[in-house]
Amino acid sequence: MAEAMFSEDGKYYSTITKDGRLKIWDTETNVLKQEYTPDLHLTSPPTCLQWTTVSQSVSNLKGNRSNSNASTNENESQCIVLGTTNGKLLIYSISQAKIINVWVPAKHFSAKVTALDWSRKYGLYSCTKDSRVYEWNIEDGSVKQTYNISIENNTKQGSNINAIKIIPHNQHKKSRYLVTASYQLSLWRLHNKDVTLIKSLGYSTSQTAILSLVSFNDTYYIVEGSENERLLSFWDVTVTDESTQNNNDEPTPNKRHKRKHSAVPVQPTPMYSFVLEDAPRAIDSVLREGDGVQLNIVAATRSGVVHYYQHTLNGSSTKPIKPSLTIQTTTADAKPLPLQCCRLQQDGNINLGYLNDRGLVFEKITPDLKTKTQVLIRGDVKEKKKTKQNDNSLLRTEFHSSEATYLDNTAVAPRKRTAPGANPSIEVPMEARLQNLALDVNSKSNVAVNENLTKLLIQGLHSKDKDIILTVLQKNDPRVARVTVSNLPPQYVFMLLEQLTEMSLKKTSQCAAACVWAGAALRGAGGALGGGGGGALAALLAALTNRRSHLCQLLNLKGRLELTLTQRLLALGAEKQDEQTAVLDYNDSSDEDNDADMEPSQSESGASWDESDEQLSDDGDVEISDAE
Amino acid sequence: MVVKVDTANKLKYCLKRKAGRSIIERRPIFSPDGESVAVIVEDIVHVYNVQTCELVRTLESETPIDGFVGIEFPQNEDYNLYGCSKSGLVTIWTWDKGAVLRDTHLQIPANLIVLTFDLINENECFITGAGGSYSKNIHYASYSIKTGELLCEYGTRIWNTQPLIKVALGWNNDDRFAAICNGTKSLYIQSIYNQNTSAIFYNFSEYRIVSVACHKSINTLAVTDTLGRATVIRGNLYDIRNAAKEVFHWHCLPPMALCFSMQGNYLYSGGVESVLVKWTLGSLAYKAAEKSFLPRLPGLVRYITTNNTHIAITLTNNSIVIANAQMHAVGTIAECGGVSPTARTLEPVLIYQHKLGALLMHGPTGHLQLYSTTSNKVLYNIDITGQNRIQPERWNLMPLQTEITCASLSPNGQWLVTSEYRNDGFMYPEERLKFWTINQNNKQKSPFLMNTCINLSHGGCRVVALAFSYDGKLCVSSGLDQKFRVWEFDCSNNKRGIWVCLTACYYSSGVAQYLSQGILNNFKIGHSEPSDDFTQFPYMKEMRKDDPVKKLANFHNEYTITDDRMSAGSCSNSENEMSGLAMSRDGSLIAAWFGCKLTLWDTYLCTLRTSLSHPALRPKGVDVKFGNNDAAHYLVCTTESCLAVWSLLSLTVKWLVQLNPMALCSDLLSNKMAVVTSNNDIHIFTPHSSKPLMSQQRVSDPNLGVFKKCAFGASTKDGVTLYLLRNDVEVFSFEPEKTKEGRLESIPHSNAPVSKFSTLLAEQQLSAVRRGAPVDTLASDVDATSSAAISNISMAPPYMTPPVSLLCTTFLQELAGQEEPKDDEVTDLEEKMNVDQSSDEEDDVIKLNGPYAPRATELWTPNYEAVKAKKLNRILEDPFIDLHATSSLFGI
Repeated sequence: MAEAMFSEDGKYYSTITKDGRLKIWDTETNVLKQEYTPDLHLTSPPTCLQWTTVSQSVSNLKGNRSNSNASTNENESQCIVLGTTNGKLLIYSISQAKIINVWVPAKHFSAKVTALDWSRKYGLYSCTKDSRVYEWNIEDGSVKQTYNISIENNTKQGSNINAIKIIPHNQHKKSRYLVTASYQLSLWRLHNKDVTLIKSLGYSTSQTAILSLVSFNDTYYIVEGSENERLLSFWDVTVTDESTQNNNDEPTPNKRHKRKHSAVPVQPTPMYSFVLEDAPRAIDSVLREGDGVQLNIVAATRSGVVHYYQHTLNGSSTKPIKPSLTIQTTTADAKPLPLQCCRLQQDGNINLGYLNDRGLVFEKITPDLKTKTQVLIRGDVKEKKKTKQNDNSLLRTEFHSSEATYLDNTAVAPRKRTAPGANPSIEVPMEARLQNLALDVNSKSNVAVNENLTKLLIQGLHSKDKDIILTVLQKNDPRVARVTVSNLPPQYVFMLLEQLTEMSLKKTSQCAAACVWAGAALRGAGGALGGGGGGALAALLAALTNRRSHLCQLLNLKGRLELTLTQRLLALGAEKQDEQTAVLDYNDSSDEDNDADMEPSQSESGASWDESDEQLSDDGDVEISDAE
Repeated sequence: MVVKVDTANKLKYCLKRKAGRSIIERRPIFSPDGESVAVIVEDIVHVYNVQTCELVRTLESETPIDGFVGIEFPQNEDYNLYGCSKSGLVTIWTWDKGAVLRDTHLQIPANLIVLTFDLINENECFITGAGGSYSKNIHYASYSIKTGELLCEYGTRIWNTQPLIKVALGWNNDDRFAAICNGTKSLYIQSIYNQNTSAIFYNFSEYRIVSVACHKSINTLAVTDTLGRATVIRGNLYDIRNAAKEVFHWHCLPPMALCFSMQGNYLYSGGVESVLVKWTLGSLAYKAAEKSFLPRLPGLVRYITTNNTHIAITLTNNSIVIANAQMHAVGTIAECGGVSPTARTLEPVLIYQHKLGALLMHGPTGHLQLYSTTSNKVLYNIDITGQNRIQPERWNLMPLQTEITCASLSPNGQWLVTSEYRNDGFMYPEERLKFWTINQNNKQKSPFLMNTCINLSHGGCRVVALAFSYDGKLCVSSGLDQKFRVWEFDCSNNKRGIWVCLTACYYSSGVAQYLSQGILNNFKIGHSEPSDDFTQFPYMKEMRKDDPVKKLANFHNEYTITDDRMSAGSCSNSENEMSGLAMSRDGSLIAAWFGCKLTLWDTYLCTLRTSLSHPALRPKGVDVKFGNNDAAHYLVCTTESCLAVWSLLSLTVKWLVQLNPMALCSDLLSNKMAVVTSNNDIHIFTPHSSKPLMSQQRVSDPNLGVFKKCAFGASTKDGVTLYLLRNDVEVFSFEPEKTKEGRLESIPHSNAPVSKFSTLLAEQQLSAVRRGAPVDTLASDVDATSSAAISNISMAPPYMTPPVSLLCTTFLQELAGQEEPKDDEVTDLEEKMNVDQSSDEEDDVIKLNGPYAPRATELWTPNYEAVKAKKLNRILEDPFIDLHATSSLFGI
């Protein structure tokens, strides 16, 4: 038991390895922080460990110190107590990274330490293979009291206590209560060297057990998991007034035991039992107040999954309870990463540790109770390096620039608008603004068609359906365009601009419509375009500039044509006027027929500029200023 | 089964100091065993382990004091630690147990505050002080530690230029002297035992002396000056003009720290360049003028302390770097804070990250710090700017660095957004917005990975507020350009996804940046650096008002450098100036302050929905937060003088309270909110009612510091934890008082092996290997030389042989064939006489070794003849040996 354990605050996780070394991980930063090889780690290896907290300062005995204590950091430091096979206790200090004390229970003593427990109120207890329990005085490393716990009614041979747990109680007595686990789980009272059995809590098939104590409002429970059983049992171990009084009156444990559990048959049964996938490796449990008293248990199994149980305490039940959630970790290519340890935090989150490559990786997760299994995909972790004890590289994280995307936003500041548009950021008096807002609903209902047009446009842009887009965009009415665009969410503005660019390369009528919509977009969604629409605007501008750049040549050509025409007219006389008109007609029709072809259309698109010139004139201003 | 009782017991809250206390205020010292460093942290001495750099224990004084000024081990009594408080209370601890041995009040003049404390020997100390009747000049005198009475007060007037006063005690031909420098060109040398013997040394070319150090045993002294020189002076120090001088010049800026090595062959100096230089003094002729460097320290060097194996370098970023003698940094004692003076003037960052259980806050320049609230340790320093620091130069001792102005964390902990800014007033401002994603896989390197970096996201204007939507898909940033921008996470283009700007929203004309920031419009000319002519920098020779050297000495808590530099060239137009921002829980609304107008925007269309205003909210809003849980329809906002709650259903003010809020924060998991006022009052409330759930007045003295930021920590079932950041970057927690069960025991002493060598040795050594028989070289030698003598003595008739008492003992041993049989008896005797523990342990060892490790003597197997001969010889020699043994034992 207890070859691996989280520290009290969950900051560290420590294990005893098979070759007798002590390894300590920092769970917050995922670093193997310290590794300690005890002396004689092969012949008398450490058997169990227990985290304890000791005070850092000797001199906080005085009353006036308590004030300043409240305002300072809590003067606590953490130590690990290691029990070894030769009966010694080693006190390992995390902050000094060395053994600071070696305690020997007696001069000629060498029974193996099998279990340790520590509580803030009662101090440190150790249990040895010959069923002795020692109470330690941490201040000077001496044994305060020795108790001999003999399991009389045990029939099996060689039964050793393999786990102990101190049970806190509220009786203002000097007696201590202790749960021991071997083949049998029992609750003992230790008082002045006397040991009395209070309760027997059932049997298991193995003498190695994992215990976890939970408490809520002075009631205490024990969760017990056995080495080779796929069940966790949950026992009530509250020390009640009644039992203590009885204790004091007549110290006959059996009677009292019967009285208290009169309803219980000879074989006591646990309050609850919980099913596991495999035998447990680590257990932790917490009681919280939710709707009633809620019990949370996490258990890591030998098969490498973590079960999470959530159960509201309500009477006892014999039916085994199934896990509310099973947590697994795998890599992306479905190679399971076995979970090694788990710890419940007060706020309900779970600390997990799983084996990845060679190292342990720790993580804090929130149980997701919507599903039965929660699979964490944590692949592709680089090989974890073992760091030195005092490596301070942690404090300076490297700067990773290779993975990031760099955006440049130099030209994003929006331009000052020349004319008031649909964007509400114009300085109008507050009353007018509020009135506007009040009227907004009505005005929108008046132009319901345009709302629908917006939706149609969004649909079209989303599906990239040419037909839908064209049905919307071929509406040449500037007002319709303005209202439609003003209701368009900003992320669609860029898509609209792309479409407009495409349209502006096409035939004249489409280009004219594109100009109307572009004007509306510039007015209505200036903010969005200012927010980083440089690319889309540039493409549109290029297309329009391309068209306009030929304007001069086309006008030139038009002038020449007209000149030629008039000259032909003069030369040929009035009777040949019909032919001249026919020439113009031919050209016009040919242009509209093959509109996809740019070269022939140029000559005539120039002519069409006249038609859209009025609409372009104000738009053109805007675009030119954008270009600057 | 369990009846839920409505316990009406009010939780009692208390304020706790969490982190960020200054550990760099005073000089640390190494313990005599070299295993730990003692560091003064206000009124407590922290002892850190040199190897792990973790706090081992604390030493406290018996009575409450106002802070220690110095601690020191006396040279010939190094098992006691002496410390002196600001009010002149000397406390003596025993080092191994940490218990207070004695308290002595020095009888210093009334209202005097002790500035420095140096031990002359274990009975006397030398202090300097100022205050009370000593305002202009300092008081410096020697006091008796035993009785506390004044021994000698010295007469030469020394101008009080705190914090530039530095004192070092040294030896001048068996006379103790104190060398005092106060940041002027003169160094005062005062004999301690002879009141009238004193001297003043004026530095060459009148450069100001900034620090002084003395050799531990011989008359050698070193000073540094503003030019960057370190001068070592040897000889009669009362006549420095004729003493030998050695000048080392590598620094170009004032070296603030100076220290001799233990043996005095090396000199360490460091300062503004953040480089530690180790000079080899001329006395080591074979490597004279060699120097080695420890560059790129993360802060300015304040103090240097050495022992034989390690160097402790105190840096202004509130950390102490431990380097070994080879000048390699081996560890860092890190504490929160260490924020540069410029960043201190900015709005601080304090965010609680639920996932790691850590607080995110400002670290050293360009860094954010993750501080674990569970283990009270700095977990990471995250490099946000990814830039080298700009090196100070003579014309610009404190250059403006790129600082993080703003940061925010998405509620699910997935994203971090930071903004950094630098505007020195003549270059185009640098401004970057960076999005970071949490690093799930490899926490070891860095907890966050940069995803997107947007250069000039607000066109060169400082970002003032950042907020995420609850799901972390949208982010809003507001800047001094009076616009806010909406950013969206877009993963359509590449697999990883980037953050892109959706739109910029503004309430005014949107040209505020061009109107307010002249710097953005001007034609930029690169700054022409002033020539490096010393005469141009008056600070090098004289102390004026606003002395830059003084500021450097006070760099770690300087408030007077209120940099307008960060907002250079801006003329603020507060009418529409943006401040706080918030996004509603469902992500449909954005609330933003534009001047005194609180505006609500539609997230979908990014258009203005409504604007809220109230006469009480003038002139300018500060912060805004949406309610959570069942208070999601409330909008809580603060201005400089009131706290108001708007109902979003009716668009009216629900309630309004007149107070001076400094910070507002909301709990993600409940409807609770907290506000901290300028009086350090804390109110925890829900938006439903103006009656606070809990309110506590003046939780700490506002004169000491004002809380500028607060954040909710992980809440327990009924209580809340509130983390508070004071303006001196100290973190407090406001949490329900815990009643602790039982007092923790402490381990006052260790019985583990103490010396370094004995840690190598196992407590028990077990070896079953048979030892090889020693080659008897001596015997063979003797054989060779004395075989003739042996044959002589054995051949000779008995009446011819000389008396045995006259024979040489080795010769007799040789004859007997055994080596020193009497040695065992001697050691046995000694063992019997020694009753200390070591011999007991030896006994133990012997017993424990049992049959495996037999005594060395027993391994020797004699043959029968030799045994016989030995017995004979014993009989012969017995009286002689006894005589010998007793005489050697009792010294006859």
